[in-house]
Amino acid sequence: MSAITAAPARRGPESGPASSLLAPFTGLIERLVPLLPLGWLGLFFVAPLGFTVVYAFANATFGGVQLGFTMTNFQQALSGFYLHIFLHTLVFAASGTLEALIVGMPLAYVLGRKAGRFKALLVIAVLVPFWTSFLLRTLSWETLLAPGGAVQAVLNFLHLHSGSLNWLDTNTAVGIGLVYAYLPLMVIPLFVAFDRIPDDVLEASKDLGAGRLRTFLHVTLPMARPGVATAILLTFVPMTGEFVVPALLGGDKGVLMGGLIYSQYLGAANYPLGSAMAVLVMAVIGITLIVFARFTRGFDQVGVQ
Amino acid sequence: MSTITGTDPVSVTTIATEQTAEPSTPAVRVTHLTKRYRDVLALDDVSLEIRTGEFLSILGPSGSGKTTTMRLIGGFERPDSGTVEIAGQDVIDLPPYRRDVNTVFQSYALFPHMTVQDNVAYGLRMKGVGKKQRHARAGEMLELVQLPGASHRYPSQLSGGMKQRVALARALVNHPSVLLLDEPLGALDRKLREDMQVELRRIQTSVGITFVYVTHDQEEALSMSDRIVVMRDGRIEQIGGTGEVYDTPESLWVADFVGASSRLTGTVAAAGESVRLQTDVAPIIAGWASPGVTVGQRAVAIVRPEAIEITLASAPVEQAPNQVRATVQEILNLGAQAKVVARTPGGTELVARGPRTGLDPAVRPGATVVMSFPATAVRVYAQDAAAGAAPEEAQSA
Repeated sequence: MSAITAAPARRGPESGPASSLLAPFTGLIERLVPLLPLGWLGLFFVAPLGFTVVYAFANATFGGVQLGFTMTNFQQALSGFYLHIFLHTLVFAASGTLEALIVGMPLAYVLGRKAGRFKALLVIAVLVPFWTSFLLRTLSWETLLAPGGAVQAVLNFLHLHSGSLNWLDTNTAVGIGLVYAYLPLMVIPLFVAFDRIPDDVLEASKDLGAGRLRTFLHVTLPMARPGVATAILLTFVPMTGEFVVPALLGGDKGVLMGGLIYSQYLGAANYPLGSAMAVLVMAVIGITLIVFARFTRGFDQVGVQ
Repeated sequence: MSTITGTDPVSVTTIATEQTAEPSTPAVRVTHLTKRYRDVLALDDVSLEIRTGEFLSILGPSGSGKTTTMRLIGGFERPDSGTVEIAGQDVIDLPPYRRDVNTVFQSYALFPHMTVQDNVAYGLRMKGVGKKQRHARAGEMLELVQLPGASHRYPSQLSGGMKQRVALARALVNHPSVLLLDEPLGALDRKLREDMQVELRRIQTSVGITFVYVTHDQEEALSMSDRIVVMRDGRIEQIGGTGEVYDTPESLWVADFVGASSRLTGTVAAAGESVRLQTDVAPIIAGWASPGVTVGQRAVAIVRPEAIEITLASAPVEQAPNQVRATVQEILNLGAQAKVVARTPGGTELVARGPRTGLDPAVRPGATVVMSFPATAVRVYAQDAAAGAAPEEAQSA
């Protein structure tokens, strides 16, 4: 996937007077070019990450950090209220991913396999709302979910609920907000996976005696597996660290790990504790990545040793 | 009509299930099939009977409707009008999985996430056959297609020819009454394709299943089939045995499409019992003229290359009804055979073909030769009827 490090096309000295001037340096340039993004990543991603890990084992002084090696921060992060929020966040991200999968799968299936010539149009329709500000879209849900809002009206109309409905500052609101926010990240890889399945493979399944449902279960879904795994990763990983949606729609009750880390850093100024929490989240994400990476491989690699 | 052509030595026991149908019932009967894709008329009133146990090829250029015909029999598309019967049963409302027909797809269409064994056994699994029996049957099928030992590999680990064999085994595992093959050898290289042609014929004889083979390759159709259906622009141009289609093409178009031939254009001087065509080189006597060819009309005479004999103009020539003087343009060595291209003073190109050893060594480019051929090898067609307006242009899809 990552073609960032690919060297630029090699040019011979005959390709122009300008390049012949640079000829002695082309080898150097070709070596330097891939170093640029690597340097960028190192400076702004790996280094801060290193700080975070070092901080996680450091001692917290009042508003400061004293380097050292202690497990106190982790003990603290994994006990009481913090542990509760940590586990709650994982469950929340997992269930949010599952919900997004349940909502996104039929949508992606229709887009990929049934939309025919409206395919491109519908894919754009899925993406267009996400050209507006993330903050604005999340805030809009406040209006929709507030008492007397649109959600209340619809549920009342369908007789699924009667009277006033106040979902603001609840876990439900956070769940809705998360699923909504990450739906395209779920839908697009699934769409690509469904779209890429050749028609004749599905025809072959029907030809051999499988109806629609069995074709879906035995062929379509397994063949979309790399896409499903990618979609789950793309949704679960950012959901674990999400803090804007819980902050806006969850109020006090909607605090998730992201919010907690945020408040440790910028509120309590307890960098070591915040870092320990961040490391825990990263560890979970890392494990998830390792587990799911297996399933994101395409079938041209399956079984090839 | 009740003759079952070609496949008498069928010894496989399973053939018994097909014999329960009346012997006169064709394996497949399609009547008045019409199919339109938006503006394109893909099939235009096609009727066809496929005999039980035969190897039938549907031959035509791309866009002729051959694949559409196959897809309608398989149940992948619905016709706009017309009927499809399989073993006497109307199947027009049945989806593919309810039809006793299986398909070998052009691009193999193997399931990439399953092993070869699971691919082959898929049809049995859908029927609810137990795992043990399934695997045993899959093993038998893989042996039939000469691919034992590949059971646990994945399609991505197989070569094109092997994938083709797996696709064939998978389609045969349920022992359908008809097997549809959609240009299955198209992606293989020449040598492999020729091997597979022999192979397919062997398998067809051993399983005794009716094969419907769609191809645009006339050589392939001629070498494997019992009968050939020649299609063009959504219509059937001719149906007949391989010999019939090659030796007695009913239209100029079929003569052109199936096999090579030389063309001589002229005016009809005599019609009826003996046909004579006045051309710019010589009068041509023909054994056959298409119905409706009348005296005074412009017409085309067709001669197959192997019917033409070449002698040096200086050498004594035996009397033959048709003799055309021409200058040799080039000689192509085809291995056992040689192809001689010669041109008449009027510019008409004639192509002869025969054993290389039978060719006079003095016949070389620039030599003046006499090309002789019997009247029975010449067929005359009205010029406009078939060769006229746009035979090749209206191809799409």
